[in-house]
Amino acid sequence: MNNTKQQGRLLPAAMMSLALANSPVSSAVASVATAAAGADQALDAHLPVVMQFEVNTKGREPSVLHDYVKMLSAKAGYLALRPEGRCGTISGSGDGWDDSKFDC
Amino acid sequence: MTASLTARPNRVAILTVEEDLHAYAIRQNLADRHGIPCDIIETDRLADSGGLEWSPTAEFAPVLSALGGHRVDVRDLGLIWWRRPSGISWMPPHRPKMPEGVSNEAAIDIITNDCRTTLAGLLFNEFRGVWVSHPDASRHAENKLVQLRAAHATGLRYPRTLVSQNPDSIRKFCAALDNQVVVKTVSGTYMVPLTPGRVDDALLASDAAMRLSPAIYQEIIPGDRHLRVHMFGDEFHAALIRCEHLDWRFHLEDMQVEPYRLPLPLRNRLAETMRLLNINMGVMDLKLTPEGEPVWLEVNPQGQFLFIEGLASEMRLTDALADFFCRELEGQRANSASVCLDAGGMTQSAMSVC
Repeated sequence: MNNTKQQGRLLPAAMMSLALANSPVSSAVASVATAAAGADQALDAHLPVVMQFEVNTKGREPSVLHDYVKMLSAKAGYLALRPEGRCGTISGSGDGWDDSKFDC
Repeated sequence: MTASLTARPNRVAILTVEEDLHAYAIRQNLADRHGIPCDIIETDRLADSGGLEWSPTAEFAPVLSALGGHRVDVRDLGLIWWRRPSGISWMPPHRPKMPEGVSNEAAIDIITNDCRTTLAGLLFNEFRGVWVSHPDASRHAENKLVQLRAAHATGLRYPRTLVSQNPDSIRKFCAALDNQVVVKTVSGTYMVPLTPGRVDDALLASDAAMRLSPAIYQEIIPGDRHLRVHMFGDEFHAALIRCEHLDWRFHLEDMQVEPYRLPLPLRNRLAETMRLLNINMGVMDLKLTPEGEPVWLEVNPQGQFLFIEGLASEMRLTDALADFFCRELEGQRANSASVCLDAGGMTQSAMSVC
């Protein structure tokens, strides 16, 4: 992970949002091109290409979801067992959860 | 009394990792709305629960430890929600918790593997109820390549796709699409969250990086309307997500969610795709083109759903999943009753015993 960031090609979340907004085809597509000089800068030969697209998932959930988690935690007896209230994210991905990966 | 005449189990177990709010929500819903007891089995805590036991004979009951410390006889279970069975914690270092003082790497590997394999073996041997979904089918269905083949077989539109680590093939594929292509992971990692990203010249010039591992190269589907379709048995609950970002998962603050009525032809194709994958639960991601044509992206055999409920309160997905579990348990009892009747032409009162 640190190696990836040292390449200087990884987009912080804010930069990625800016890049997305400027994309001609889809305003929603992350593009490393906006942060890199071009084809002369090959990617790190020791990292898979998908590692160019790491995202920061901290603090991205809206307050309505935080409120919902609080309500549900109390209702479902979770807080009674874990008063600190910490739980895995209820969204699709982030903080160690990945919808696409459950390795059954 | 023969085995077929004994009462059918009416108990649910959720196999998941620690601190999984989805599990607690379903457990509470099953208890409050259906009176169905439910145990949570924390698959990342098997080592320090010390509760796994099985024997080929009846001398020892096949048991495992549930949250709260009590032992559960697997034969008493009517349904298993196979949610996060791997024991890979969502918390770093993303592996099962070890009892204090256990730090030898070989020991940790043995403990992890032996707990996981014993859990699977005792369930395969002794559990006779409904799986949601069966482990073999889940493992198969989780594979993105297998999913795409199933979607193809049922006539769903899906993005033009190449899965490759061959730089020449990748460049050829991208050139044919004028480089309007995203690249995403085939399986990924728990260690860093990854999002699909657009290929560019630098990436396409990086032969060594492309060769390291296959990735999914896919045609970009434009538009800002995404579908999240929850299949619980025969029921489908679809949400329309409006989000300008390609990967809405990391932009929950920028999206709107509302219920969506699936057109019947699409519903039928999705159902057929799930049938081909042999799973009875799935959370599917699709995207609508600007013209409104649905494009299949993937299915998560155990996808999250509470965040959809949290963003669109009219979507009662917890109720829907608990109801599905309840129907499956009732179906099991009905099947058992019909077996009893077939066997002996029994009366209604006798049937209720089954």
